[in-house]
Amino acid sequence: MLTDDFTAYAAKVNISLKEPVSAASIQKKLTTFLALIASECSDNGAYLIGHIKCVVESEKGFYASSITAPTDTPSVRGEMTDGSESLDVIVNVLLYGLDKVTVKQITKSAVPVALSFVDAEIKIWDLEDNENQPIHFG
Amino acid sequence: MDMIVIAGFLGSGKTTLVLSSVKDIYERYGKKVAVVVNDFGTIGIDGKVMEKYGLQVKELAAGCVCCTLGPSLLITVKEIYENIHPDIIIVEPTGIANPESVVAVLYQAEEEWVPEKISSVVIVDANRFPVLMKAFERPLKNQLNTSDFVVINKIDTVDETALSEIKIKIEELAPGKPVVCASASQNKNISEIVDKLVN
Repeated sequence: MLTDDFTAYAAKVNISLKEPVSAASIQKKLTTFLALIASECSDNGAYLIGHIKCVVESEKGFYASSITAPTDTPSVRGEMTDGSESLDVIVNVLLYGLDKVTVKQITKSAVPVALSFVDAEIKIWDLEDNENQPIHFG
Repeated sequence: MDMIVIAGFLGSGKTTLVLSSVKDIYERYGKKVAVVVNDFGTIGIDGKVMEKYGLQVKELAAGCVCCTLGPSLLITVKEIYENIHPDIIIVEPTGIANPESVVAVLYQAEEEWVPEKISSVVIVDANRFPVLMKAFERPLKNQLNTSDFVVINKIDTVDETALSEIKIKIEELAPGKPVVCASASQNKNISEIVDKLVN
């Protein structure tokens, strides 16, 4: 099942928050993030999503989330309490029918849209590139 | 030492089944389990999640153990055998791996730590079965035929008619292959799967 149109992409996101945030808001943004990537990839030509997975860690715990179809609601596991001040997010996209450049673009564009918090500083690292310079938002 | 290969397409629920199975193996059989996770991407998310749940995990990222990472798998298993001394090692290959190839790699082990028994299971996602069959019938048929038995997972997401159609298709693709219906996320029929893998 390693076909010519199979694409794998991964990125790391660090979010520095000005004020502590609730676990519920983090979980909501995480699922919105994955659902957005899934729908954008599907709309742009991905005919099958292997998986889009994400892990978010903070000093208050972790959540892991996954989605396999744009029509699904992302599943979530893990535990986190309120009061996170910094979030480390790793996202991994495996799909068929869409090139890596587009997947990368969709994923990075989804970060400031779905993972935004008030006055937060967001950095994104492309985990599959040799040049590991972060992109800054906020 | 025994080994278990839990294979299945991307998103079929392998990691959830591993987490449930390890707990069940420990609670009902009292056996010590170590897990080897092989993620296709450069970052191993599944291994990270398992570690969060307290499992001893070795990750093999950026490749597939049934082909390019075969030698790394053998080295990793040997290290686990020598340092952790588990009763069972569970291998979760990538979602694109062929279980037969993974088992073949494991049987290349040196004599002093060759596994006494290797069981393999393929997980099928009930929810996406028709879509996956449409895209990858031949490789999925190969996966089904090269495992000891098949788990139809996520049965809570389909109705009886859809489940029946999946069973008929599996019987057509892999005649006589034992099938267990389960929902790993809801802990349904995990013990039945574990009994087949451990005994």
